[in-house]
Amino acid sequence: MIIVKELAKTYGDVHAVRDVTFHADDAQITTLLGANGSGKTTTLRAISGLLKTDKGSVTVDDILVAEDAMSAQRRLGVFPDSFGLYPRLTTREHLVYFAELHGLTGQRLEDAIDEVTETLNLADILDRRTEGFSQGQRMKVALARAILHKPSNIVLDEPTRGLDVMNIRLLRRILLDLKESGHCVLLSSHVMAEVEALSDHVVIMADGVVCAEGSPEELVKQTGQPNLEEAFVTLTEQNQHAHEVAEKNSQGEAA
Amino acid sequence: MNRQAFIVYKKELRDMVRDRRMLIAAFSFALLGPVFMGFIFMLTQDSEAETQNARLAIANMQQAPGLVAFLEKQEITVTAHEGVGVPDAIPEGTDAVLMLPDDYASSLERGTMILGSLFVNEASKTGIEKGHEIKDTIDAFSGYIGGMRLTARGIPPAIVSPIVVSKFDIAEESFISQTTSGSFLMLIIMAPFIGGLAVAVDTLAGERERHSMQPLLAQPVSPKNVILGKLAMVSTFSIAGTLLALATFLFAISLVPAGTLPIALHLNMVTVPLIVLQLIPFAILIASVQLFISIQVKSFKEGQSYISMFMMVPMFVAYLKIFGGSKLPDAAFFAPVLSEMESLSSLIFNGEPDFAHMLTSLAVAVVGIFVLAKFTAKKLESEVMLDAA
Repeated sequence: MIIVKELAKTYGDVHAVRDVTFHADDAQITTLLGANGSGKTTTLRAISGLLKTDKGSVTVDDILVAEDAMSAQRRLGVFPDSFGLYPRLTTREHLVYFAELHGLTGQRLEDAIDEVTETLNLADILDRRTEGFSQGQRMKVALARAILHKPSNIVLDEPTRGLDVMNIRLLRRILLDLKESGHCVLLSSHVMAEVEALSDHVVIMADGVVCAEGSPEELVKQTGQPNLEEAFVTLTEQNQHAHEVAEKNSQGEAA
Repeated sequence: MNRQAFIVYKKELRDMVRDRRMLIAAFSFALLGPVFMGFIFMLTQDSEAETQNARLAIANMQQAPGLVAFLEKQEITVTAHEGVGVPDAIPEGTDAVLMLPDDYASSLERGTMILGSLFVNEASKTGIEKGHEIKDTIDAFSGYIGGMRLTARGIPPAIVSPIVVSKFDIAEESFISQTTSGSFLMLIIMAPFIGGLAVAVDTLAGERERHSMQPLLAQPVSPKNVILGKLAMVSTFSIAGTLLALATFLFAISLVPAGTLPIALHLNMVTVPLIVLQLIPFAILIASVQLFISIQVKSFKEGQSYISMFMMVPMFVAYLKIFGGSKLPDAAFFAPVLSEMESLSSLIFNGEPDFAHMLTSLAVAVVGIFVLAKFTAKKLESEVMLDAA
């Protein structure tokens, strides 16, 4: 389970995340839905222990990331926004490397590789160097690397980007399987069809804040719109308007 | 090295060894060392011409047996010159041509002034030096004859030669020896710089460029262990390149006929292990500097530019030692790299350890490795590492 409370992060004058609070439960798929630059990647990086936040907290299975990032990382499987593979290593070597970093050795390591090879159908690319892999094959390796050590929480940053339909369907099946087996799955996306098809819980982000959250059905109902896409547009526009009003008020007070 | 650092090290080594370009970049210098040394040796062979006797061709030589005897006593090789008038060129096998007048013998006998001409070719350093040597010797003979004439007339020669000075060369080693030893040292000292160059750039700047840094940092492995593993990998290349360069150096030296080098080398079972022991921490220090540079940049290309600039350090230091060594204060030889060169120089050319410089370079290496690794690991914690160029 992942809990994010009042998260804030700035880069110079830019407020990447202002005030983000949500939780992602076990046995559920939670999606951060937002436009580019809304703060999704920053939030996921903070959860992965890659950022020092200015304010707020992140806990992964009751472990405070700011205090013990490595313990939290042991319970996380991270699928970053770019696959980040080593072109001169084979798929198996990737898996061995990351499994060893998670402390797997000997038979446990072999079993974990066998299992993930079967789950993701990696047999034909297991002993091939990743140089020249298709996007789908690269996705599989990156995902295998993230779930190999059986983390209770999986974090995926726009996982379907660049994938074809067949690979998107494969990814959806795997994420649903992970959810069925009790994992907490947290992903970011701006593809409505993907969000609707997968998500139990949607957290809509805009301008570094959470503007709404709930199930896709709840969000549609809340806004009175016909579908999630319209609901998303309505909610982000409302947030934008509220943000502009707040800024005007603060400028008026300053004057 | 702890387990996690070892895991990183294993992966990094496997990754780099598979890249042919990395291997060529790391070891080409060490393997091309003998070629470089051959070139240096060729230069030293050529310079032996400087130590050969000056060679003079004399027109009308048969008229000047006294001059010939005097010249030969001064170790100048004399031959007859058959040509007349101004020569077009200095004949092959000679350094200068002396044209004596047809009436040389009779003029000498009469005690009148003899006007001769000395033709030299000052287009080269050797030509200038040999020309001066021959001219000085002829002047000395002229002075000798003048002295004899004065003595015959009852005048002490000291009257026209109130000051007589003799010149002695007290330099510890000749310029050519200095250049040769400095070049050999530069060859060895550059090896660690080249051995780890490409892999140091690839392991940090390259990792960042490939976007593989983010997934790595999201694993439960501390930045310290990541850097330790990567430093061990770069050091492996650096040390391997250095030892290979040393081995090819020893091999090349073994091919050189004894006594033909202008310097004495003391490479034996005592000095070679000491040289290796001295070079290993130095190679790790250079690997640490290269990693420190590599982590400051966003791309492989940028990293290559900066680390290539760093390559100039050993060259500058070697040239400083060759051309400006005598003008530097003693304290300067305790500076990094220079102290390393001083210590290696003592081992290789004197056959004995110079403990002051050896311990200084070891201390610099230990402190440098620790500080640089710490700063590099600190930098790896920075959020800027997550994004590539």
